[in-house]
Amino acid sequence: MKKFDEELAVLHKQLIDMGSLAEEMLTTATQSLSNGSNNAFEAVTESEHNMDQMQLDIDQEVVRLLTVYGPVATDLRYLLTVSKVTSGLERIGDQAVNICEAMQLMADKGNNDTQSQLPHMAQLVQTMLRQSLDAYINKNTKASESIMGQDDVIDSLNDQIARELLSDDIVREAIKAPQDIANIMAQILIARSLERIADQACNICEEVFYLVKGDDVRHSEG
Amino acid sequence: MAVDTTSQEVIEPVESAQEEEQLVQYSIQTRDLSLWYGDFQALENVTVNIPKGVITGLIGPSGCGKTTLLRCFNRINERYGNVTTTGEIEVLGKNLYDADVSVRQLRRKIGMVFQRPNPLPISIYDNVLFGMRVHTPNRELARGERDHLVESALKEVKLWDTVKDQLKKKATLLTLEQQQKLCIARLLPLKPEVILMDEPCSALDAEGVERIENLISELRDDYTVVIVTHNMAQARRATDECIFMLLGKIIEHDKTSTIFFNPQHEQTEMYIQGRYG
Repeated sequence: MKKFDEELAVLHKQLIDMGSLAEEMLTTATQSLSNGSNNAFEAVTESEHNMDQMQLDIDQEVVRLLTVYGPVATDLRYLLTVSKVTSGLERIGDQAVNICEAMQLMADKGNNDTQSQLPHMAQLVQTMLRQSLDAYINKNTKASESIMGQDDVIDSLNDQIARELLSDDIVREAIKAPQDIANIMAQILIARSLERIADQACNICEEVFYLVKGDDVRHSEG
Repeated sequence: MAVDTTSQEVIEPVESAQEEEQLVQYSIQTRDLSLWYGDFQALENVTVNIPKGVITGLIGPSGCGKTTLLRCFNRINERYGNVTTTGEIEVLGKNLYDADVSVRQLRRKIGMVFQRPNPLPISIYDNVLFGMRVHTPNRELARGERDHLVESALKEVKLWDTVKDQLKKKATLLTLEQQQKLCIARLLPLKPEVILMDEPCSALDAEGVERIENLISELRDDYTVVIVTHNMAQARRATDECIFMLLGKIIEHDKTSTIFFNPQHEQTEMYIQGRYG
């Protein structure tokens, strides 16, 4: 079993690296919300290619370990969850690219202004993602439960940002300037991407329950 | 605990509704069963309920007591002498140590298959009828009745097509797989309700293992099968429930899928993962 344990440790390291890259992509993509710069697009796009390759490599290794060792119990549940977590991380990478594209749209139209709640929302989502990866690595169901509880806050912020950006006053002003319409649309898209990243962080937390207890808490209320 | 081998009474079905319901649920139950070989305690306060009509695997490292437990269910342990047993064992609703229990009749209801096939050095035909003749010595079966019993038993173990033209052949000339099937067929004319199997595939090659496992699987529903196995892959494939034992104790008993996916005890997990034992 020593060899299997060693191979599991290598896989675990690959997963941690992929998680770190997802965090880095999100941080890079959202930095420009605070500082108004727009130099993240290339870096995030390149990372996204790496992310895709990491997902393929990890999933291939999961299938190999399942085939060769026929694992049971925690080992089996771990490998099943690894595959789901990589899928979530890959989607987080895609959303980070979407954020960059929205930022690009704003820049192209010459209006990088952002609604005040958007950087705050980005900060919260970054924290959620970091905590969800920590919870998975540390097999911490209590932390997972707490993180999943934060999803409602993110949903509310998303609703609030969209509502404010689409308020009568702002829309009336935007109609007069096409670059403002692009700015509003981009901000709504960014908020939606952040909300989806938070959902993926919650999905990672759900996998912690499956890993630790064998409980499938997906689609369960509360 | 005294061993009574003299009484010849048949184990009769229990009449009360409550116990009848219990019969439907469980074929074998033990309560605080302990067993010593001389000074060595091989089983310690084993309490277990084995459901009717399912295949239950006994798993655990060598020396954990699984074969000893299996052998308690038909009191075959007593043949080894210097054995002390305490606690209760109920099979088919009857306490095995009640004064009116006949060991002979008990073993008619509870068949056993051993690690190494043990056909008698007589014909295939006579092997199948052997148990019947031992258990009903005063009943002469008509030729047609005998033929029917042999055909039916051999068909049930998927051996009929292979041996139907050579029923007078000496059973010991069959392959090991065929011998093991014959040993199972030999039990069937007695209409057992429980079949105990002690590593029934360990002497067979891969194809033989697969066919015997398929056969065991088909015995489900009609018989309660308890099977001792060291082979974890076999336990996963061939059983409905598993009992994990360690140092003479039951550590965990659950559905096989649960035992192998989400065991509740660390010792079970370590064992099935191959990290212990």
